Amino acid sequence: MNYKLIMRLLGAVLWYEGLMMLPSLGVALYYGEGDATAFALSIGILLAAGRALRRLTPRNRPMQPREGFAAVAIIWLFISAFGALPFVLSGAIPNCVDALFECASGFTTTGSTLVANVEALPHGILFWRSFTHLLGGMGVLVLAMALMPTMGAGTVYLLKAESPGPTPGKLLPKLGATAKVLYLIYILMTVLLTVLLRLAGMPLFDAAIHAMGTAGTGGFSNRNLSVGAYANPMAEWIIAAFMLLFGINFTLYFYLFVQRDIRRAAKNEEFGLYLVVIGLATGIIALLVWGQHGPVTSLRHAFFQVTSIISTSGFTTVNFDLWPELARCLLLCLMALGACAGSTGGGLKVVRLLLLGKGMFRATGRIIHPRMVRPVKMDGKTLSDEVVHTVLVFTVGFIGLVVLGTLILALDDFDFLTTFSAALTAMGNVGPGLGLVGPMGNFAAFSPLSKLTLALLMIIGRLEIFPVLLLFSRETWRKTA
Amino acid sequence: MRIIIVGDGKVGYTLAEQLSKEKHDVVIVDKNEAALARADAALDVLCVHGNGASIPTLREAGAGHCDLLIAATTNDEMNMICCLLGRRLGAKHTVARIRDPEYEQELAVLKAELDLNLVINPERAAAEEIARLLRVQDANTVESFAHGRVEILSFRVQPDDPVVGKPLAQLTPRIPVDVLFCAMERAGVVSIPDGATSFLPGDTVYIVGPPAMGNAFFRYLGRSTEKVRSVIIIGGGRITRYLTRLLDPYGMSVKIIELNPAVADALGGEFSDALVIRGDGTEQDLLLNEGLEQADAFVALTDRDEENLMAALFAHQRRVPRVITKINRMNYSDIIHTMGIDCVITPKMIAANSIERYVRALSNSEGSAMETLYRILGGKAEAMEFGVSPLSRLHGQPLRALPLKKGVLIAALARGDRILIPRGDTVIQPGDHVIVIACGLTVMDLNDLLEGKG
Repeated sequence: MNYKLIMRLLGAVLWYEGLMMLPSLGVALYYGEGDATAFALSIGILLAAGRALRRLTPRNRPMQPREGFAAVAIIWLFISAFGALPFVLSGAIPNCVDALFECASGFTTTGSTLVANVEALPHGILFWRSFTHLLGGMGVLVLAMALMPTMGAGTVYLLKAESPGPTPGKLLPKLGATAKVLYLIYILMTVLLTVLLRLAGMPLFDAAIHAMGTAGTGGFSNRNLSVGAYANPMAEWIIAAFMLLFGINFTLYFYLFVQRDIRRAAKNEEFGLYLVVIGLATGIIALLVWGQHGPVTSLRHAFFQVTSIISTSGFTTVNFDLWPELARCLLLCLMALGACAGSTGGGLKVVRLLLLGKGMFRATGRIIHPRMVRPVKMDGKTLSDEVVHTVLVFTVGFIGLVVLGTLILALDDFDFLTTFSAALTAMGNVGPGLGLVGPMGNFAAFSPLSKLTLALLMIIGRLEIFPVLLLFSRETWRKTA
Repeated sequence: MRIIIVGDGKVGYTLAEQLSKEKHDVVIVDKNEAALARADAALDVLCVHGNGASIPTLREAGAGHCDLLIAATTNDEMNMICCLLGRRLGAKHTVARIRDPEYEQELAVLKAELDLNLVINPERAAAEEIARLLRVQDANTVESFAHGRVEILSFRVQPDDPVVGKPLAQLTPRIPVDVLFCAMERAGVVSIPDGATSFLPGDTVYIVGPPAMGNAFFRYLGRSTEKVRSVIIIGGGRITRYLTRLLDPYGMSVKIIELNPAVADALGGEFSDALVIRGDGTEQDLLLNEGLEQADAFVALTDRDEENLMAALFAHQRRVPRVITKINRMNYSDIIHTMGIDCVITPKMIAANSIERYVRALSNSEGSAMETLYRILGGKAEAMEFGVSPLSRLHGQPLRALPLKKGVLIAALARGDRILIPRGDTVIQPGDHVIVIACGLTVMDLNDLLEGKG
């Protein structure tokens, strides 16, 4: 491991994190609720730490894969810890463990909160909480790549480690240009959503908070009742539609807006399956809750809740914990499934389900025709068996970690549904679970150990398991020439 | 510029590495996923998997709006189709690697019909370089500029050379030949010598001057200056065929040793003047029987680097005056150097250099077009030739007054028929051709030589 290289990179990211707190400082100053000093202090600490680490001069050697992956995991742990500073310093969330949980939940775009009454938090803190969604959604290192002039060879491993999906890659020849285009599309869509929500009648601050929460598919709201608090059907439709949009692979937007190639975007198999799943789930749930809410409202609630859960945002308009069992089970499945690869959402990703299905289809075909040669194809391209295999390993690892998390959480002695859905919602970066941690509950009741476990699960889930698992291997830390 | 490189082989990879470093947007297309994975990890380029001669793949790589398409796969026909399609799709410039000697005759027709801007033949270029080396005594490398009127030669300093141990300021007036010492390498470090520099045995030194200077200078050094009359070549590949043709007019006796009977027979039929021997060119008895110790030069051109190196070491040990080796892999050039083998030819570097030169000429903004580019000292320094346009900021004042950057040297001037070795009071004029050495920086334009842009 080239420690200095990683530390230097960490320094750069912390420095940028300090800069990214400036908007929150502005909000805090504007509202004058006493949280501005906490931000000023945090920014000072981050800039100083970043400055000091950036002074290191690593040996001039290209980044190796393990350094890239380990760097991403380490950086995510650190930004979560440092990002929690304003929460602690301002006294909004005085407990360190709680603050870390909240910040990890923000950066990983989970949106699980342990603040019972968010409406009492100062505006600056609320803004920072949601701003972490915006940063974490597309990725802090992707942002660093877009801003930094050049980071040398091997940087592509950082993109691979941070971008979700089985085969992340570049859209443009230059990594920096790819990162810039992705962020540009992302920011434009966020601004558009903010404007639309403002037009739909939300206050500007609330519109911005919910736009950032939607963009990162996070789910932090500044209201206790989440989006439901506004009783604004128009805003609910807009947010639902954008949650669907932010759950789509951003490569498709690149094809659509930059290359103007609609056919290529429309032919994407993952996108098709994503729409089918949303359509089916919305239909079934709407029928199931017809009796509770009436025709139009049930359709709206069903669509909102389905897009919110599948995109792993976690906004709520209604307490879906009171819905019929089948509806709740469906939502639980969507929590595990998650959004498309290359989107800002979490979970297993639709593409992996698609590949697993194709692998299964091939396995049954092999029983009938033992000598059949049929490679797994997607979007007209043949995928190597290694890709399929990695998808399988990832899925098993995902399930295994949820089970492990459930076992640790079980120490707190809550009911099974609460315990399991808490672990799943953390791993899938969704936000709300069922039972005690349902849409109307929060995570405050858990023990510090459970909170740390959940925070770690969120980061593991956001980085798609392997980068974080790498840190647990002794081989990783060994010094090499 | 947006550049598509089809074929992620040795040439493709080297080019992609160079061009992406020079801030071009590079897309690599190849059928081999493993090769692409390596490029994707190590270089800041976009990799597209697929057949470079298929329209969908070329479209995906963005051939419709690319500035340059370089086809460098192992297959000539594939390269031609690729460039033809790329051109139809809208690529502004196309470069193809075509290296089969069979196409040599039709090259002009092919170039016109396929609308190619440049054809690269690494083997032919390598053969030309070897032929130059065989003509000039004692130089390890010879690069020619200004249509052959200026040459840059390199040699290794020997302990009993008269240039050892004296500072250049004292040494230069005593040398009877008009030469300029333009670059040197000592223990892997490349620098441009100045008046205070003195050479040590083992240094590699580059000198620049008119072609006649080479032999005169080596006579001054007291080296043997007999002409090469007999050459032994091992390996009967494409380079050998080009080389034998090139050496024909100089009346050298050429002996080719080739292992494969079919290839040996074909060579025998093709060249009536050369002696073709069927046998293993790495076998010591065979080499000695064929008069290795009497030969003036030994050229190792088999497919395998290891065999070339072993045979070359053997010839070196038997005191063959000129030993030239082809090495495909660049990675070990420093080690090879320490073993005493100084003349190393790498075809892929030669090919990459000529494409690179073309790219720089294309992206040149102010019209001081780069005409020649050689990468010397294993790629650690570059020697370039520029035509001086009236727009350049170099002309009109003595060289002494120009704010030249560190690491650059104006090595020679070609003005009309005259070759000038520049001194402090030399004034560059528009229309001159200047030969520039740069180490440690990328020069795209003559104005890049000066401190403070714009």
